[in-house]
Amino acid sequence: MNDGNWQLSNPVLGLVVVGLTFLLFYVVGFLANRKSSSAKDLYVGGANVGAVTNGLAMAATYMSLATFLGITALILQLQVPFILLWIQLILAIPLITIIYGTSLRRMGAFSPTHFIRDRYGVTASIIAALFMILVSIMYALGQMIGIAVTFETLLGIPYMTGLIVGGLLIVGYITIGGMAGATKNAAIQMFIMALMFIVPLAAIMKAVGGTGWFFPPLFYADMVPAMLESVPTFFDYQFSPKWYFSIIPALTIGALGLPHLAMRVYTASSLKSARSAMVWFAFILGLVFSATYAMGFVGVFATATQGLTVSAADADKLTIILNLVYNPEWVTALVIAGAISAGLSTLSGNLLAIGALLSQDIVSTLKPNISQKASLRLGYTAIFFGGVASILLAIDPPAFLVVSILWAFGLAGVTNAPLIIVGVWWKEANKFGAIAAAVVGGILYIVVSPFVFPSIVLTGHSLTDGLGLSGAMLAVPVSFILLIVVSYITNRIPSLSNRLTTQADTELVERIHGWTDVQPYRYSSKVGAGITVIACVAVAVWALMPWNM
Amino acid sequence: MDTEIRKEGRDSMNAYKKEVRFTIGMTAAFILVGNMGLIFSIFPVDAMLFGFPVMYIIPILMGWFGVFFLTIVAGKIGNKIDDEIERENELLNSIPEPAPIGTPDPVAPVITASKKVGGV
Repeated sequence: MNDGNWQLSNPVLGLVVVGLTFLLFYVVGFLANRKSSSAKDLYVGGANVGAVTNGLAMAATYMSLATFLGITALILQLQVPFILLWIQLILAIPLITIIYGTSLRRMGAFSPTHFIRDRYGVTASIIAALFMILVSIMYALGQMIGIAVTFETLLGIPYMTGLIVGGLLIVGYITIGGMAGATKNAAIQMFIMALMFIVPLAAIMKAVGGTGWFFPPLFYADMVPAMLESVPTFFDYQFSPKWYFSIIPALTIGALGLPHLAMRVYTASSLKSARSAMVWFAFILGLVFSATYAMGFVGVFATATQGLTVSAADADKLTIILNLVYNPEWVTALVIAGAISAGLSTLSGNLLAIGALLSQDIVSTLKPNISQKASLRLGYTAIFFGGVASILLAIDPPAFLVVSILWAFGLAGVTNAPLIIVGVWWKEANKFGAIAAAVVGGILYIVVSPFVFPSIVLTGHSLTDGLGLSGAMLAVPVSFILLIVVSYITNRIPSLSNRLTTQADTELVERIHGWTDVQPYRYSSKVGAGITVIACVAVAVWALMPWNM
Repeated sequence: MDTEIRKEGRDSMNAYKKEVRFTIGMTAAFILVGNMGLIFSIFPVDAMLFGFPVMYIIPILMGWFGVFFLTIVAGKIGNKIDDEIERENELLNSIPEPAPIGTPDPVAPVITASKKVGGV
């Protein structure tokens, strides 16, 4: 078992399986989209999706190719620290729901930017929308890399051809499908993904000698002694508490700023339904996440004890390689279809967010008299070109597909999350603070990332900088500090008072929390704001101190 | 009668505090159960559980079942707080205008929000 040209020997079989899967998605998307006549239908599925469907759709949107392929690749590289990094990603929808999702749902927002426009005004919303488009494209980039890798393995074609063929097929589907199709499809995709990941994993586990194959997500303890013997360092934490802490600003807070995830909360038929969806999301995602850790474990186990060799360039294919080695080809074809489903549902969310951001949050804001039809057409165009942009970026991809996705989390955490969180919970937050936070925080995050100025980084550890962990640990608190301090100061400068909409902001904050009246004591704590600033200063200073990596 | 209504109003003012405490508390709880790796990196444990190292399996179990349990709790409390806010709104709307002389009434609405709450 040595590394080589990993591909299906019978591409026709793979094509038939993938073709049938696509046909199912197109039919469901077409049937669901016949009713999609307005922008609201297109972006949030008419805001009447049930709890179970929505919970599954939330999980499917979140479970991207990063889950299917990316996690196992980085477990092979980083081992247990990457599992520990990934675990907290399950918090995204629960935290969005309890911190601001229900408030924005109550407000009837299409997207987080819609809230930012009403809360901070047009300029701040356009800045936020531009950053969110960058976030969505970077997120979509990771999916495109995965799609290309999958098609490469499926057809035995070069990466570039796989990228163009697979990418255009999927962008075409999403442009035709809209969110209603995507939501109903996402629920189906969730079943397909779970089935096509966990069942083949059971077979692989059985093949490598695991006795707990009947429930692979948790029952692989019998393989632990052999693993410890072959790879004694597998369970080592490797990094300091500072590295583990940096996960919170970069990824936990970062997830709160992801536009395509928050939009799933708005598709709920009611607030109660949104909260029930969150429970379904947590259960199903916990199951699949645990299975991916098991897949990563088995991957390392197979390379350490079974003589399997996977080159660094093929790391993103580990899940498929394990299936090629240990399972019949038709099973691998199903796994590939599952991987494509994972990429499809997440790309749907990303590209629809780009469509909503450009047509609703930028163009309709600048030209409020634009017709419904023109706005919808613009949305479809943006969805298509957003997809094309991610295909072009994937031509020269980073080493791991997960890198661009997790970096996008940090950018969302810097530019969007503080504006939404503070805007929902603190009446004093104003447009000057929001603009300062998004612009300075966003630029700082980009500058200290290794992609623009490789010499200006905080740790020198390529993955820590590349994943945005170090950058976000500095830029996220800076963004919170600027938002609070600049708002606090500008609210007390009399000459600026006529440029602020303090009364309307106050009423908006009360209304989105469900109140029909306005009381000065609500959502105006100076103590809370002060504590947040002090804590953020401490974290930012800690981020600047040596990481010793 | 008016005094009784106002007293009930003051008691139910807790809905706001409950909402803030619930959000901070639940956020902290979620972050804690989802980031057990951070806790173990500070306080390492050298033991095995269910055949796995504790520092490996506990974060995984908490990241699944711990989060799942918290979503159930958060859903129930969130719905309850929404109902309380709604009740408090009704109560505040039913309070007659305060008398022109006397101490300011902390329960009376200061300004009425211009738009109706929608989408619930």
